[in-house]
Amino acid sequence: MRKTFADILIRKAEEDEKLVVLIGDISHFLLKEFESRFPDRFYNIGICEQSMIGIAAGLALNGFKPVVHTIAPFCVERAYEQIKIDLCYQELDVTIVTVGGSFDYAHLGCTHHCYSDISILRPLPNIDIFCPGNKKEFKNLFNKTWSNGKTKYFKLFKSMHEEDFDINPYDCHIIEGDITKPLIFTCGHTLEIVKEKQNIIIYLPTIEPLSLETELKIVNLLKKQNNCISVEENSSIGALGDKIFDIASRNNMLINLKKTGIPRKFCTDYGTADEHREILGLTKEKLRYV
Amino acid sequence: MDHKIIKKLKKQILKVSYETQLGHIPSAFSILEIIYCLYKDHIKDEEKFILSKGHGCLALYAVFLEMGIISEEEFFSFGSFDSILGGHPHRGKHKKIHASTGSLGHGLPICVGIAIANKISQRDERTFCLIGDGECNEGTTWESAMVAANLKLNNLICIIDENNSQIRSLPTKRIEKKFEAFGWKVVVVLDGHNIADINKAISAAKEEQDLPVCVVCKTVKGKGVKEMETNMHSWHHGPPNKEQYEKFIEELDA
Repeated sequence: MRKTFADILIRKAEEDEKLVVLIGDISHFLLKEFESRFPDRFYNIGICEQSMIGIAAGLALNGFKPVVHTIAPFCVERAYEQIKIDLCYQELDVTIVTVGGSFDYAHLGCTHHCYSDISILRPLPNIDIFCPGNKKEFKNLFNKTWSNGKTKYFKLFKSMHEEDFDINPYDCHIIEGDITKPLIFTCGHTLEIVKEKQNIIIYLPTIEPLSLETELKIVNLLKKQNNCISVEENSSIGALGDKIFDIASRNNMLINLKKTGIPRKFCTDYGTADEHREILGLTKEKLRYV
Repeated sequence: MDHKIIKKLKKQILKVSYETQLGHIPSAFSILEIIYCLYKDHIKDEEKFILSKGHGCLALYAVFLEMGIISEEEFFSFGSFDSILGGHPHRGKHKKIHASTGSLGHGLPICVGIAIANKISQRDERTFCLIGDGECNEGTTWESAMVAANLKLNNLICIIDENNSQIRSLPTKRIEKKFEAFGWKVVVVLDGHNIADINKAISAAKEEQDLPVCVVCKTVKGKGVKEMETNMHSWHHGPPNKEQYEKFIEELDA
């Protein structure tokens, strides 16, 4: 995913002279080629993520389209007020791309984990939120939303799903299945752990906002089957699962939803992301109610 | 002449605050001369000024009124439900308000971004930011000060309203030394209400070729109204009652 990100940036910078990259002292090696090709559009701002968001806002106020890149917790959780006020409130076209999704940096401990980024960004107006599940999706979502005038957040995980389909931003991909079984909602790489189930799977790499057509598709499915399960590697509070609740609520529907995600706790063990998934039940074998 | 205009604007600020029962009058009186000088003689039409200490916005709105940027009707609609002028400036509501501010510590990073943008575009435009000494408590002020110095943003001028209101909690002492230590050129205005001195300092700041410039203006919160000047703790946010309003107007007229 990170290499894809580096490639996308170069291609997009060739097309759009307004693209400027700001990094918070990570990925400097990864972005070496970008830096050498576009030295006046590459800024390793330093370890000051809050100011980096404000600086991105200033660039956007003067017509540039900044891409801000750092590790998820240091950007979203540390600079939350800057994202809210400097970007969303001012309605600016700034793209944030983070790595270290959830517990990708498992061995580095909880300071480097970020389970709640989607949950805290979802209530903010004027930000598009994406959890792409593989390189192709990321590229597609990034390119199709580029220059749309909005703040955008891309959460990149190390893990990817292996499915190959085309999907547009703000849309879902439905994998047909047995309507008598609970619907499965998922996003990002966790598609991989549910894809062999017999249930209907609604895959949503866009978390916010969904198009009206997409929401209607979901509502129509919920009318036929109001038992459902959400599966995501985000906090189980406020992210995709609650998005489904919100859709149901807006449409005056009662649904039964089992939320599967990361519980309200610090994952204080180290090791690998897979070991955490095992403990949290986020594996093909351990998923319940499917 | 300028002195008369400042007095007139102060009376307008008192009036709008009395009529609407809203506003941070002492903060506005602290920065009125600075904003007046900037708009009268220094900021070119295409250049951006950001009032980072957004709560002093009545001074900005009064200067806008004086410069014909807003109408009297708009000025006196201050704080009403559908006004374009709120208790903190909102960017989408007037083209001359370039950033929405209110929460402190946001303006300087944004101005650093604008200054970088002007460098990339090779536009010969300066960016002006006004922050308070209290705002210098915020870490983002110093983060962005480091970034500006590191990138040699000689097109950035940050004016500090040093009215010492932060003595009630965490005073930012020796601001000029701090900015110097962070790699900025510093100009000090000992009387931040003296228009000639402010003009001189900003003109000097515009001459700087290598570094971002910090203009530290020593000001008095509530300048011109003794009760505000001497009761900083009770006069920060809050309008005058009828008796106070009449007394303050009389004092300004004296």
